[in-house]
Amino acid sequence: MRRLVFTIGLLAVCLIARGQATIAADTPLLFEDSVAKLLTKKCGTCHGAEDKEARLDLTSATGIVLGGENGKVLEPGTPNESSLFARVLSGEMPPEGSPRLTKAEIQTIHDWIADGAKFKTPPKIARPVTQHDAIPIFLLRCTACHGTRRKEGGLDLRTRESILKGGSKGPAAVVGKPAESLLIQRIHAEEMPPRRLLVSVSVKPMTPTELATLERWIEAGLPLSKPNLASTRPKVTDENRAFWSFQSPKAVSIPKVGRGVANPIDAFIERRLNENGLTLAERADRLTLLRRVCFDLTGLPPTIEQQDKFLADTEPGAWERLIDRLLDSPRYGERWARHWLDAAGYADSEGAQNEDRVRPHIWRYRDYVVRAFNADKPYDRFLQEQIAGDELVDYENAKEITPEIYDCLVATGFLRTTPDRTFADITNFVPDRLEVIADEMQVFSSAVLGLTIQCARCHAHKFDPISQHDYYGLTAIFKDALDEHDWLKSQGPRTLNVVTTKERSEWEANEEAIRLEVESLKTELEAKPDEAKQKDLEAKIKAAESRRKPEPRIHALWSRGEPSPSFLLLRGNYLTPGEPVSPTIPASLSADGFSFEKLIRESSTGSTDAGTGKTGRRLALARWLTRPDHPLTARVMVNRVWKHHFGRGIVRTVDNFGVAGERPSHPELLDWLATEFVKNRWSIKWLHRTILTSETWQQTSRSSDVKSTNDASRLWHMPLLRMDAETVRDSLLSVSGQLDLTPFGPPDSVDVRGDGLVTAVRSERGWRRSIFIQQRRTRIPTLLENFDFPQMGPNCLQRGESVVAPQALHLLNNRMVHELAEHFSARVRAEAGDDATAQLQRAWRIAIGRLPSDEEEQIGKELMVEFRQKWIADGKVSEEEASVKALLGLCHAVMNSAAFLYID
Amino acid sequence: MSGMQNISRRQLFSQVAGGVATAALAGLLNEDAFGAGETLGPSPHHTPQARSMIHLFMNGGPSQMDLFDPKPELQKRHGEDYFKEIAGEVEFPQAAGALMRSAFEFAQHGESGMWVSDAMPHLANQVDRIAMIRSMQTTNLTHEPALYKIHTGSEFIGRPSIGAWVSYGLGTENRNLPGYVVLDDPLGLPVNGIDNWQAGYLPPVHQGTRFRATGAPVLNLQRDFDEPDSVTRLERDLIAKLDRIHKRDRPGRPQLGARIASYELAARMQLAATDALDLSQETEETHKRYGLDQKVTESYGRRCLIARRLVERGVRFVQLFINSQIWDNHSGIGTALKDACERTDQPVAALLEDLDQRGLLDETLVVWGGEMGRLPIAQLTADKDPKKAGRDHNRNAICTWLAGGGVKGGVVHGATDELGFSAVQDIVRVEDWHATILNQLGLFHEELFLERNGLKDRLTGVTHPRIVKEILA
Repeated sequence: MRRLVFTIGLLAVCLIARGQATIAADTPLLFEDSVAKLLTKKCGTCHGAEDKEARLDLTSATGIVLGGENGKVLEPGTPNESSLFARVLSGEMPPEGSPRLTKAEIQTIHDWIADGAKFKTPPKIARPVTQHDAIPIFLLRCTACHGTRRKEGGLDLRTRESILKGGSKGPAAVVGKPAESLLIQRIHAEEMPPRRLLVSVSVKPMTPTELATLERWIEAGLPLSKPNLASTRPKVTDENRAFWSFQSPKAVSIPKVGRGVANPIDAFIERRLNENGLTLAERADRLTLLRRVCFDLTGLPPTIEQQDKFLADTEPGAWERLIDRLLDSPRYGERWARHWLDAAGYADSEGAQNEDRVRPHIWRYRDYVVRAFNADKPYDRFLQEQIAGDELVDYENAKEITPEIYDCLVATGFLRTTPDRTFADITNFVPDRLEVIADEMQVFSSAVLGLTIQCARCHAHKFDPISQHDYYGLTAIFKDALDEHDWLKSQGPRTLNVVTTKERSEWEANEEAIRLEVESLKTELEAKPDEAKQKDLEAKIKAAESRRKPEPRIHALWSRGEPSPSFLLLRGNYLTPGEPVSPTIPASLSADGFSFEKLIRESSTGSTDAGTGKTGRRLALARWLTRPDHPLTARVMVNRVWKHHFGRGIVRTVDNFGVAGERPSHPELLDWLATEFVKNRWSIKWLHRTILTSETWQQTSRSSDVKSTNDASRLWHMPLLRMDAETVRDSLLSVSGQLDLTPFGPPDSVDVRGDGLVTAVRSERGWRRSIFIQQRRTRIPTLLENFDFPQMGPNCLQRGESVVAPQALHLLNNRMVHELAEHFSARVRAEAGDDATAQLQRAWRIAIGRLPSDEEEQIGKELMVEFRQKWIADGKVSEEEASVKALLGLCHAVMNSAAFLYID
Repeated sequence: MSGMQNISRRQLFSQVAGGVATAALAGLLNEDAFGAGETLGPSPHHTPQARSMIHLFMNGGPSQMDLFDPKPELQKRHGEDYFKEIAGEVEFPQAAGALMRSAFEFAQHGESGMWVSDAMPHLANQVDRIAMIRSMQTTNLTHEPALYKIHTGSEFIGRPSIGAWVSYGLGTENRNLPGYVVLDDPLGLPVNGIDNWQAGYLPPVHQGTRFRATGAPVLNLQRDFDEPDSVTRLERDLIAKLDRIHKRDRPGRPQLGARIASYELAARMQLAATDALDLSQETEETHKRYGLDQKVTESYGRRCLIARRLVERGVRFVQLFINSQIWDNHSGIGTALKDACERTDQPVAALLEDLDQRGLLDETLVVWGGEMGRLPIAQLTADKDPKKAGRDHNRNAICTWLAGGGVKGGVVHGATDELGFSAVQDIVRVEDWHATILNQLGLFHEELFLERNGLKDRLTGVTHPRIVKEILA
């Protein structure tokens, strides 16, 4: 590669030197004489009149001047600025496998551009200026004050009609006469946009090019043209649509394998194994399975009671009963909500600016997700609420805000999780807002669709049939709520004070009671009592005031009506808007002739009917996503659930079901699960039961038959898994009896020590589960961070699983872990007494969910004797204390052991 | 580690679930595991000019026209109104004043005759060792996004920093120390805090490890509770014994070997990091040279000296930070900029000289610079007192310099307009700067990527950077 770099570098130097010489010596180079032929030959197959890859035609003078979806390819006079030359020079084009350009041909292109890119017959492409050129400029520079929400001077600059109508000073434009048009005059005089006020509305001054465009539009008579989407939206072929994940899941028959199996999963898995001369591994022992399933479903180790109860239940169906108990436990939702929060990119802070400001109300969304999992909310409904909850219910006109209405609004927090710095004027410009929108689109597409659409923000997707039209069409669906030209700042303005009527009235009652109390205290104070009494009254007022609570609000997304028009942004740049785009879903996921408008009409419910101001776009999207035959929605979700049960997905790239993603290892199993999932009313708990009762999931992880195959995707044994970050922390707290199981509500704050160590603050009863700790992006508790708690950028579909020294250092040296070991050892002594064997056995059962092996017991006992001797030799503790310390050493070692941290 | 010798590298990588864990292991496992003759971690793409890098990051935006880019025209046109020309590029329009000359005197130095102002008398003696870029530009004029940009190539939170990329691309040369060490200021974190050295989506092992310049250098590096050392040793023995049984009963699970290795590395790091930070091993003369004997330079000097000791020990990437934003001179630039220079000038010059004298400068790339530059117009305080004036942010012109590691000394690259508002000649974009740094370390920017979401994610993203070869030896 090094050689290539230097070769390119040298070539560039030579070219520039020779280019200049050529220009000086020769007559002008003309397109028709010099480059036309070679471009047709080497580039025309893809970029020709017929097949316009990236909407670029390099075979005609018109095509080359017009450029493609990434804008212009030619900058006459400056080859290095011309992407036509730069891409050829870098070797990026023609793509690998196609015939390359020779050095002489590259030289020709360079020289032609350097000489001004001249044509024998210059192409006539003076495209008329229309509202599609002018309106984006008004949106960018003017409508913050003269638009949807504000009409300063009575002026609205959003449409031709409103511009001609003008404001209090008369029409803003005179047809055909830019010089006489008030708006042009004011801009020329630099009165508008008003420079010193610009930052307060997060607008930048107008550029001379933009002004010239407005002048040309007015001069031409402010012409309007209708969008002609059909002609420019790239065609998606049937071949594109034939890709496996764009086709609905197929009905599959359950394979017959030699021996009869009860669970269809086993039939699919075993058939593949049999083809390779393999079989499923034996079932793991009962205690191993108990520990595995407790971590899997609740993220906590099995308690002694759970162990006793399960071992005592020897009747048939014991396993199913255990699964039911775990699924019914509130701990289940706390565990599985976390997986969804990763996909949603949940965090308790804005993730921007130095202070990483706390997002005070988003925890209600976290609670919603926990409750939804515990209640086994059908996944289709779960998605609809998160994407369009505000359009599902008529909260504005509801007499009472019921828990159902509240849930629908809180659910939309799903689309409000990403880093958002738009709370301050200086970081609330259009590009800042577009970043928020882009991140939300990435969260939506990767978590729900399993597609990587973010590429299409700047150019057509390199692998999947997803165009810029698809990308901007999708963002347009969200525009009634996420509109870069009509924005709500991320904190106060973009929260709603809609909570359940019950919570609201309790809050109001509390505030009113305090108000009355303070009022009466103040009356007493006005009577000028003696000094002692006065102090007492003042203290009481202060105490009463401190009981005030902040107004309950929710961090939601809601339809605001009147979305701005959408334009495709060339190269993703907000300064180069292209053609107008209508809201729609990606073409590869819809048939030719599909109409999003029709879909909206079919999907509307009472709340989005005429008169409510809601567009119904997101609701239509949500209903389309949750159609029973949707090719992606169910597959992506069952695959994610499978991944969390087995450590890897059937499609290993859980966030990418596209061409560049991996193919499913068991396509028929995936389709069977997806279709059955939908049939079983999208029940996630049904999915858990089906998977956990399979022999496949209950296999041992101890298979030592390494030689037979190294293809883990065949699932010939269970993988050995390391606890994830929350499981490590919650388990340490659980075994030491310090886990406070209080659920829900505002997150517990964290404390940052001088050296940067971040820990959660203790509650009265211990520490709460990790999901209820504040997740400020810049202050993730160190223990969680060390064990691969993800950076939400903007979300995380697959966590890392690292094995690094800071993990060891934390568990070995950290004071809090050591204190937890003290609690753990005190508990062991309280439950097992002073006998060393009993203590060892108890410690193993609590932490590792089984008795120690003879060998472990032997080593443990010997070490406890030695521990005791060392402490006595140290001479600072009594013999009795030395025994206590010996048990502490053992418990601390257990918390550090691989047997504790790994799940068989 | 002896139990791992039977496993070949390929076997190991093929068996670990997920590529992410694989790369983390590569940084961890060492010659003990693979035997002689196999390389440590990944290899460079081409012969590197520099083995290590020290990044002297100057948070806040040092004023280029007051330090390295003299503007006689600005002296002449002092007091002239200029706001209108650059209105869109001013963060605080309400406070914008007229063109403002530099309060510092410039002179030419060294054999090269490079211009440096009298704010940096010590660096002035080192100009023949450095290549000055006067024409860098960034994309955002606000600190936070500009910091993300310079450190991660993107204006947004969540992407890996350049140090993490280098660690990911080259691995470590010292198995007892992390590959990427951050020396932040005990007085406080820079803007964006620890995100400046994040690993983003790269394996977490590549994130910068903070070494504190005083006290325990690494979080949890020392036992934070009382216990006789003999007990601690015994407990480690117990863990090791239990883990060996656990591993023996689970053959073919390489992550268990890596886990045992991580506990061993933890123990070694406790010693190695403590030794690297023990400045009492240095002579009094060295202490003086770095300014450890003076209050104003003591803190930064200490970090510069530690940086030298770390690259000596094979740490790949060392990054120095200063608290808050001492270069963000919105007001009183005459004194504030001078103060910032006084804290850092002597230590930085000492580092260059010391590295050179020890023969380390040839293989160590030293890079100095901030996230943005400053404007030629004054920024006024509420009372409009010109003596209190400073300069506002500027994304269009940044001075940054590189030294050692195959970089030419005594060169000036690029130029700004006559007032110093914007680079106009040989513009260096942030991605060009990144690609140039990677190039010196033996990495080609296009080949350094992580497959993610079906894409090759790079430090330089989807840009087409140009290596600034004019400054390379």
